[in-house]
Amino acid sequence: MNREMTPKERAYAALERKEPDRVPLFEAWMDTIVVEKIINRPVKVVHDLIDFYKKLELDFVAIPPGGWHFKRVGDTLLDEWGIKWQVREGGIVGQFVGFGFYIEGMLKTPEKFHEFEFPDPVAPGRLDDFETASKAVGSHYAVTGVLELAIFERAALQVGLRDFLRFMYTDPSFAHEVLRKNYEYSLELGKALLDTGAEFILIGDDLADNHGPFMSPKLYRDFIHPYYKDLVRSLKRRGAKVIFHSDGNLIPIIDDILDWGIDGLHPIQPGAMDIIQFKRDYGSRIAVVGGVDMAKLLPFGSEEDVERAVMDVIRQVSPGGGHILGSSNSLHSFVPDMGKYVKNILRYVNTAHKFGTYPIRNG
Amino acid sequence: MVEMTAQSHLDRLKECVASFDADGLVKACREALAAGITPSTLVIDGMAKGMDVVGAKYEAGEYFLSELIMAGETMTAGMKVVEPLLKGGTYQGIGTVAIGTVSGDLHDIGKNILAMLLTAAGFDVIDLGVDVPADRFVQTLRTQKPDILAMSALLTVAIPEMENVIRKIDEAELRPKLKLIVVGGTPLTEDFAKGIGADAYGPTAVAGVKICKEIASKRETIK
Repeated sequence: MNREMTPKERAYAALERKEPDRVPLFEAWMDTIVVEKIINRPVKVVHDLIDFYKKLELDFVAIPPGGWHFKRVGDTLLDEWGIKWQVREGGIVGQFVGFGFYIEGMLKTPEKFHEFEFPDPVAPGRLDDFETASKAVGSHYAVTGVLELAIFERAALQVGLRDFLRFMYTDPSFAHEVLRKNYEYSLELGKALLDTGAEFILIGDDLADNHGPFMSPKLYRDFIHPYYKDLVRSLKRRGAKVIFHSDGNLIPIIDDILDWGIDGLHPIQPGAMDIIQFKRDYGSRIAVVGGVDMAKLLPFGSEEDVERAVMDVIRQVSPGGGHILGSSNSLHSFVPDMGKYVKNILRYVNTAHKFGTYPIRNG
Repeated sequence: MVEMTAQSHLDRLKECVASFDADGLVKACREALAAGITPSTLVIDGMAKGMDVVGAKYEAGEYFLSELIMAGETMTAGMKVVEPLLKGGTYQGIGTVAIGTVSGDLHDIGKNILAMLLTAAGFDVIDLGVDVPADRFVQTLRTQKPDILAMSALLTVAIPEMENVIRKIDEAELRPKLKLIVVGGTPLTEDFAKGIGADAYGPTAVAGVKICKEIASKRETIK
């Protein structure tokens, strides 16, 4: 009998679309209060975040970049990329303090964009947490660097989604300029992560909603594809495994996305795409990351509902490997009953540990 | 120069909207008006038909948010020519919809798409924005007297706020003046909507506009 794999070995196997010893587990975005309930103490340093991943026996340890600078004005804050946010205390761990809801972008015109100075991707403090985590647990866990809002999403937030989509039609060279600046930022940060020894990179960029991509496939091919193809190729050339996150229905542009060369796609959002069908159609080309509904099941279901749903997704999606189990977006805290929610999160991971051992029979 | 028929003017307006040709639309509007086509016909049977094409293509997955936005911008350019001539005229939308995302929620993409599709369908839209307190919904109902109230939420915790808004509307006895209260966002359900006293539930913007159109067509005009 083979020895149990390390979380890192398990992550590699799944992302190479093989069968590990059991289905790996992945979470990357958790609200502070959720992490604190799990580790029973405040989240202050990266070791607290690492303990969260260890306590739930997740296989990936996602560490966002740090070194944020922002200007706080009342209960809003202006970040380094010219974007204004509504402060939400206890927002996603590791995001800059008070990360909350988007209010508006301040770089609404070419003139404003040209006046603006982009932050330094490798400013002091950017990679400290990642390096600490890598040294502490990187030989055992799949420590994962995160490129947030990597290209399109930040461009759209800086300019405003509606206006940015319009600029693609009315001022394509400006749209390209904004995308290129963000691509260059993400590329440099990504390379710096690899220089510190990162083996796994998570790219986050919401390209779509439930209906489909925000932009037509033609606009996507002109404006988005070239930057992503190059970013992913640069990361993969150095041996990294790359997981891409986008909400929404990506089917209209899925072949193009797969052409980038990514290893995993997250979260295959319920209501927008069907993870079971997706695995059937695309599982030979990419690993799927997701499967546990966080909108209704985890906040509102009974523990029995959670157990049944997790067993169900394991039976239907995990056979043959190439599946990493995770929530369908993030472990946010917009829930009416935190106690129930935490119990459900524990039940989800415990069920996965109990029933996720390979071989798994299809059904 | 061959004189265009009224229908060919209207077809030209429709094509300009559907192909996002703002300059062409402005020119076509001026030519149509010069040819004697009334402003309201120009809007309802010309430009709005172009938006119908756009809406149908969006529904069919041929057009995306980028195209809805361009079509909206094109229509706005045309409306700038026509609107001054509509004031005090006989043009009326097929109904008025007040729409907003409830207090505690800042998500707006679905709401904005619905607002665009409603405008395209011929409704007058009062867009209250996001994070709208209950009192503002009530005040809007009182002062602007819309026919339909549409509320959006994406966050499950913001959903109880919808019940709060409906309760305040009932307390203020403004419900009889409303033809429809419709709520939306994928996290909601039909049962929930009925449970809080809403009349209808639309999981998507496209479903929402269908519901509003149905109510509008049940009467000859709903004004």
